[in-house]
Amino acid sequence: MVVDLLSVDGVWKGYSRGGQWLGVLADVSFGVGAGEIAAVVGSRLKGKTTTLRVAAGMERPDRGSVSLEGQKLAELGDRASSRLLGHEIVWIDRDGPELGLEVSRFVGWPLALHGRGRRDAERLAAQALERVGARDCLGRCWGECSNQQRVLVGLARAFAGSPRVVVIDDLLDALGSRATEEISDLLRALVEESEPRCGVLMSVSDVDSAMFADHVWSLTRKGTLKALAGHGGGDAEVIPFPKHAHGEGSQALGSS
Amino acid sequence: MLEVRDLVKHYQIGGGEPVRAVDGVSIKIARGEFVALYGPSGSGKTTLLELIAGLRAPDSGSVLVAGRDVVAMSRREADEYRLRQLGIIGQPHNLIPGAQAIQNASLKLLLSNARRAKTTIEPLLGQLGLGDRLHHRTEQLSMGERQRVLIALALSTDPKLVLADEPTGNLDTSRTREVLGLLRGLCRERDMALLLATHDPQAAAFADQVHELRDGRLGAYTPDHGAAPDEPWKPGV
Repeated sequence: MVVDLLSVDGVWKGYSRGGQWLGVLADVSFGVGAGEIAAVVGSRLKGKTTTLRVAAGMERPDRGSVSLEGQKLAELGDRASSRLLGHEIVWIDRDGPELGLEVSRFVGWPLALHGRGRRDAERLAAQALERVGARDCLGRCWGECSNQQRVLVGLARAFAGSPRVVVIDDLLDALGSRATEEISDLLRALVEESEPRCGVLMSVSDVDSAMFADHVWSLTRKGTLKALAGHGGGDAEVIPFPKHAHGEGSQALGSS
Repeated sequence: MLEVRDLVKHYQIGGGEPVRAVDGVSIKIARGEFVALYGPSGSGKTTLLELIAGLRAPDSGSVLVAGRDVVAMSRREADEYRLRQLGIIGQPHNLIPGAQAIQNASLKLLLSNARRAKTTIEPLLGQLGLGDRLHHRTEQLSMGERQRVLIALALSTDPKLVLADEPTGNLDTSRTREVLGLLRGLCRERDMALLLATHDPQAAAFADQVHELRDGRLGAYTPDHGAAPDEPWKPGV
């Protein structure tokens, strides 16, 4: 049995919008183990990003808890939270830095922030870019990179500093099916090479992009998003997949 | 500080007529001058800024910054130009999630001059009114505060040319005024040339000069729909 690296327990989360309470997550629980890739699937405004933000410690749940290796994130002080968010839990999405920033600076910056010297950070950044197949991005700036290159650069930045959990929001959605497949294979390889072994939590908008994951979660609603107002109903439907059994996974999801 | 001469950038999409994103644009901006480039979405504003930043190569024309042609720069020279001479103010989503304000603002300096990062960023954020928010993470900052962190990042290398692409697009009207007023003051104080691209006539009204860009060409600006910054703000105008 895989022990959970990241654990989300009984989380409720909602927001006040125009004087009304909008419930988004209702009693959501899941875990991501070391070496695992887990995906949350759903269309826009279903709460995927909220799920990821709460799991990454970027937002506090209204109720429930999030733990990394047994340590509840809510119990950490500001300094420890900052270290955790920049170093141990790494968030990547489609947004990047300012267009004119040279890519290796973007990749090396978190390393430098967390104590690596400049040369060391530059060396590790170059290695990370090489590993993900984005060597040709060295010397380029963010604004010169294609969508696919930006995804690769994001992965290089995430995995350069030995993270415990990588949280990936909607990164694959801008890619074609072939590129998605290539990136999925790369992500799997990066997880398997990571030392210590990390876990990945990602969101995708279509099921096909999630089929390579070990777990796929679909956020369901009892009715529409609005019907959740006042914390009423709804929870996370968990569809565990046998590791790498993509064919079985496809059937299971189709019948759910 | 900036002189753009007869700049042309066309894109061929499919087999039809080329898109004339930038079509013979010439513009000059002196140090300490705030110029707005006003135009609707798709008028070529962002392409023009990207050409000035050296992020794209033009079909023809030149971009002179402090007398040097950006178009003729090698990759290394262009990187140095973007790092040291140019500031680009993007949008709040360009901040790194989870990172503190002071860390986000150090993104450009940390890997080029870490010592200067320490001595520069904190006072700069203080000047921008974020002295008590230095260690707040991105998600703990309001949109207006995030925009000020981006301004600090852009100014961290003390650039003499700053490009701002719709920097107030995500802000409400009072925050928009606040940010643009701040930029106007910094432009004077730091003696930097500031080029603002905006589709908002009220944002353009903060500039010393406004050029209207339409279908890739500069034309006369009709300021009747832009309120001067000192006039009462009229939401929805």
